[in-house]
Amino acid sequence: MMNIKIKPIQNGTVIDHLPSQLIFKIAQILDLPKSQHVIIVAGNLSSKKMGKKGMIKIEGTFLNKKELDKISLLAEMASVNIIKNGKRVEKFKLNIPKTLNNLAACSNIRCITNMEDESLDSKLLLETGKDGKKYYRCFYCEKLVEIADIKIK
Amino acid sequence: MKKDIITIRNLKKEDIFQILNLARELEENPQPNLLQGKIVSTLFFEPSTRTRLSFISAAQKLGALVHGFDSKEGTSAKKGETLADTIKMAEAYSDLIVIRHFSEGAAKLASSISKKPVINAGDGANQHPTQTLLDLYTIQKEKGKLDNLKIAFVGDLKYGRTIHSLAQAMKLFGATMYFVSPESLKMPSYIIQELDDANIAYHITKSLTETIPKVDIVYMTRVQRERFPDIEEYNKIKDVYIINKEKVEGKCKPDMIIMHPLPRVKEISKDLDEAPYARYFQQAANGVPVRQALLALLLNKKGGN
Repeated sequence: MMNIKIKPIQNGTVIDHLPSQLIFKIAQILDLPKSQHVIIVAGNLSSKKMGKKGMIKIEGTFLNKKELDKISLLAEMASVNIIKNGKRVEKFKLNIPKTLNNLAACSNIRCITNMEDESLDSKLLLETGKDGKKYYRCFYCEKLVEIADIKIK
Repeated sequence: MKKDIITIRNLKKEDIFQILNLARELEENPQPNLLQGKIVSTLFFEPSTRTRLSFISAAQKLGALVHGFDSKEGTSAKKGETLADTIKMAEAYSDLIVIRHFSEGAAKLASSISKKPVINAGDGANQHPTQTLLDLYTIQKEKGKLDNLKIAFVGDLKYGRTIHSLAQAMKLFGATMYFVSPESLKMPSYIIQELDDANIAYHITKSLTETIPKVDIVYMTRVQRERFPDIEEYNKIKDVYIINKEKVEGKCKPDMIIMHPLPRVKEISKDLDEAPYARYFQQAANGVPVRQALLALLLNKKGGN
């Protein structure tokens, strides 16, 4: 694997430790293709922890909670660095949100939140099974949604 | 705090016993004035015979007034009104709302909007908790207990909400369960997961005849032709999930009982209707005292003066 240096950013966000295969998907859900800022999307970087990893750097942009929640659903292991004046001022791990308010549709097509006429926000609540596995349950129709099957709105 | 009956998952053993005890009390000592001055809304967006009539009967036997509708036709929902708006209206006009709706989660939505108590009378293929409570009432009445029974669920285990809710409830009482169905209509994995989590013993089988001798209760359901994309597959299995005198007599436990949420079509042969095992009509009748108990509890009238 080639060891290349990726240019630092001055003010913005670095999302590190992403699974390489998800970098374009994450760029998509963050709506980066429409952004006017400098964006660096990198994949297959060498990583001690992960073997290969992906990374996204966005100049001039600080992600809000909703955007961070979306990333956590796809890549719980990701870490986020906040850069100000060329220096890292904050670093944190992502947490899967306890509640998804209108962030992802219920996977049950017969659920009331999927009825167009009702114009009702979806609401999924995090639960942990006996085996420690995490999943979401629809607040309304009670159906379980595997985190891997979450369809982000 | 306002009480609702939305899903069997939220009921603990002591809640269930409280409901069943009050049902027995009201069955033995009718209280025609208990809910005098109260108004019950029955919002049935989907047709129903037993559930709707038994709710009306239960409310009237306690002296409450009932208003409502029995299908979406002719209501403002037909004109595009959201369920949320319909619930706000019903909340203003009545003291308690009974709702049946084709969308799953509709009753939960109603309960999160309404300040008045809500009872789920069926939300799509999701939950039908009052049916489950009357099933439990029937089992307790007929078997003298709810604990440690062996129960077979037969037929359409995939789409039957009655089956899902009853399995979730019987889990609280340490039942041993037999799931008898064709491969394409087997119990959904989320229910199986819940049983595994609760360490419940269950058997998955295609054979009704092998199961009958082992159980205390046979709970039958309708296998509907429209569930099968292939008519040949339907024809192959349809007789396998029919129960009749021949399959039962001399083969089952002497005190075995047969239940069914009704309507039945052919899955219970008429030759069993007069047999000592049949309990499905009593089961339907038990809907009235159980729903009386729920109305009384939710309107904070515990009975007994």
